[in-house]
Amino acid sequence: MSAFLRKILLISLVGCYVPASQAELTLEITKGIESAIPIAVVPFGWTGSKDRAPEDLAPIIQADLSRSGLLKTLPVGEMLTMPSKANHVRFRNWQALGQEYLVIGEISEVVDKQYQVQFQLFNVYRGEQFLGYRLTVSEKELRRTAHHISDLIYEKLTNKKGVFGTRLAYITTTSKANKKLYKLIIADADGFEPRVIASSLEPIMSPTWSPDGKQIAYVSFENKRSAIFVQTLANGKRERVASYKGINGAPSFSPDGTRLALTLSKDGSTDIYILNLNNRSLTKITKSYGIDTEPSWSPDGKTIVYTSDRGGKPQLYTVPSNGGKAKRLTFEGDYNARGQFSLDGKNIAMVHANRGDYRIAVMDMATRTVNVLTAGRYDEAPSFSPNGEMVLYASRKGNKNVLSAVSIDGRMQQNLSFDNGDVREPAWSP
Amino acid sequence: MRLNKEVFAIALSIMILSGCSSTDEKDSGLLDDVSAVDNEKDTSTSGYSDGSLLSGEEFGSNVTIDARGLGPEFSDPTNPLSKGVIYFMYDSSQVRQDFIPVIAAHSKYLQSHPSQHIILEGHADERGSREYNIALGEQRAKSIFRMMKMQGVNSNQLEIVSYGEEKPEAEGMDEASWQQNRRVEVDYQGR
Amino acid sequence: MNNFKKYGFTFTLAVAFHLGILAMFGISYFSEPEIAEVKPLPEIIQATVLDDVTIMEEAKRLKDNKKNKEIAQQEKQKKLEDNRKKEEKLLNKAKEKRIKEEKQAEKLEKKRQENELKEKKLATERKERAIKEKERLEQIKKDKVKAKAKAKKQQEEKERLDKERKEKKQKAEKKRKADLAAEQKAEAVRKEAARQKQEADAKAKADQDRKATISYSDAIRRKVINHWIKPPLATKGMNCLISVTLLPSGDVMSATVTRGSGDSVFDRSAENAVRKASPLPVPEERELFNRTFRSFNFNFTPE
Repeated sequence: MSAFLRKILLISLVGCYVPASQAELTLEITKGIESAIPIAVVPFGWTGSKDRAPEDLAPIIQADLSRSGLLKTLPVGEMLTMPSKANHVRFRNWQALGQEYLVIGEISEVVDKQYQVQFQLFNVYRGEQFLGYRLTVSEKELRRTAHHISDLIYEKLTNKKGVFGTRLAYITTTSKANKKLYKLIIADADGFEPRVIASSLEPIMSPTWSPDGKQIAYVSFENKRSAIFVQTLANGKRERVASYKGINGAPSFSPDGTRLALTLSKDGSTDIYILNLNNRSLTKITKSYGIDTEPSWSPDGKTIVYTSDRGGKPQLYTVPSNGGKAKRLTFEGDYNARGQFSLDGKNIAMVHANRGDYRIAVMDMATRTVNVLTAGRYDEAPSFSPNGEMVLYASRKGNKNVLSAVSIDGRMQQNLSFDNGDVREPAWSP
Repeated sequence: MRLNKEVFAIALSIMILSGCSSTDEKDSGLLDDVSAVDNEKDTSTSGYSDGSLLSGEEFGSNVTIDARGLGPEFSDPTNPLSKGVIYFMYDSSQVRQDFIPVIAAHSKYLQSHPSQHIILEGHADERGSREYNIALGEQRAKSIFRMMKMQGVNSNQLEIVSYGEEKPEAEGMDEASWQQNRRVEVDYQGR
Repeated sequence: MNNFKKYGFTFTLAVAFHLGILAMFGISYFSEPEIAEVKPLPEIIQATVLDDVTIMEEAKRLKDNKKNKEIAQQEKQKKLEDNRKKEEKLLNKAKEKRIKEEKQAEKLEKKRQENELKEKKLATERKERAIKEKERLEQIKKDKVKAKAKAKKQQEEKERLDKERKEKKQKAEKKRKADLAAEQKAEAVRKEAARQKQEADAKAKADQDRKATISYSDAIRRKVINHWIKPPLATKGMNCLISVTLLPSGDVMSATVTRGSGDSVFDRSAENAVRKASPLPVPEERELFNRTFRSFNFNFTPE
């Protein structure tokens, strides 16, 4: 038995307490509960010419914080009081409701369509302010401001980057008069403010963000053949960067944004190529008779993870981005595909199937252990949140494809509601 | 004030972003501010929309056989040529025995009609990842392609495209639907 | 006869005188202090060894001798008278001489008598003095003896008393010491018993306190565990020490991070857990509360 184990044993025998006569009592707390942190976001106060604020920020913030999984907001109906000024806050009320944190705020009209927004975050049990901001915004910026406030609160409470101000790209299909319409949409991280950036009666697939968040690459079948486009968001201009014979698929920007990894089958077999976006040179980096597809770059740009069925069934492999020997990465399960590196390079998310159930799994690159995060049957298209905390993915709900998010520890899982039809292939912006 | 600027910057980027929305879902309030950008967007996105509309017409359900210049043999259920879809097993691109006569019939027809050409449209069921399914659909189409070539069809008459799981025949999430989706459609393009 | 008488008388007187001198010597000799008593007496004065009786007898004998001599003188004188008548002239001359002599003798006699008297008186005085002295000496001796005896007796008495007193004192001292020892012993026994009782009580109390401390500690830990929302990224090896001060009601008066984990989110979760768990279950017994639970620490360290 090691000294360490003996020590542990001793501690457990002693019963985790030191007699008072010898030293001050110290109680060991080694366990806790697994729960989201309770926080109350009180509807913001309003001062202005109209009856109410053009946008109540509190529900947006509540939704953001709840969606994070780390925080749990108090339903407005359970609030005893709804203060909007610090001197009206009675911390005992919020303690009685078990809330650890409290957010109050006010919106006041400065001039027409100009508002001052202020908010404060309190630690209820300490009874002190933890954060406070005042800002002047236009009416159109109110929703954005709410997300920004969510980020500030989230960052303060978790020490992690907030992603409420980020955006999502995804594909929807809607059926209209026996015709299917495919749309590439970009929306706020909460699914609001969707904007269609491309639509077609032919499939649009595999949207992916450039590292600077200014461009999106995607596959479109608009000309009855697959082609890869790179579209600049600011002006809507796009470029067809690949339209070879056969497959043009699975685009993925290199971390420096100068190259695009993609899948082509122009030479017969389906392989991974790297396209230099500046000079359009093309380099083939995998060679196998089977399928090699779905490349994704490591954050350092040196490695590419991809799907290959060279072993008979689809599994993840890695290959140096400048070409070289492929190495098999996954061995668990009979189907592992669409690997994606997290931004810190510590994890790879993938579609993992065992006995016919397709689920989202994350491999810890340090230990090579695979942790299955979801329990669906048809989960696919995992995409890391920019802070690496969540994985957004597509799943099936009834007869519809929906978007869901899961925390990388698998604790928190939720569906994102989008009411515009079938939603799939989410891609989280940087 | 720093925050204010930040918020403003983000808001601005969203405004610009909204400028590239298609005309289907525009936010007029935001578009007012970026009309210059809007014009540019219109050209790129509308052309792209037109393209899809065109192809949509081509793949409409009410397309007549005649439009493709095909004879009545394609409408005769007893003729193998009436079978324009070849089905596959799960995660497989192996041509099933029962479809070999169908493929042979199409090969024969193509050989006798050298001006005809077909697109072999590979498909997969919805399970698994989409890009992998694209590749899988392509492999299925390639299986047919190889077989037809072996049966004497000129490769100029053959074209391959894979839609993977993007164009399912049946929408259900069950084996009955999936069976219908794991397929290669033989699409006569006319002259 | 007269001559004779005269001569006889003179002779007697002379003898007496010499005797007197002798006696004076003897007396003076004997009147030496008592030390002489123990000295061997010289042989010649053997006859004069004196005691009260012999001194008296000697005096009488001396007196008797004198008387006899005077008688013989007178008879001689009668014979001489006859001779004297014969020799008248000579006689006269002698008479004159004799008168002269007689006068001288008379003078001498007187002087002698005076001396004798004086002697007598002196002797008497001496004798008395000697007696007295003797008596005194004897008395002194006696007194001395007596005193000596008395002193001895007194000394003895004193010694006896001293001894008695000493013994008594010793005895008392001994008793006192014994009593004291006994008392001390009793006291010690009593104290020991008290100490043992106190010890036993203290031990019982300590046992009780220990048990109470364990049970309240467990209850407090359970309550805090149920309120600690452990951050998802809390990993083994992190640890955060929080000092708390409680009111007797168990209400958390203060909770301070005294040694942080380096992760502010973790530390805050721990601090909030303690505050949320307030009031903590604490013993009602004030002494135990004050000693152990008024202020203590929590160490948050995930397994």
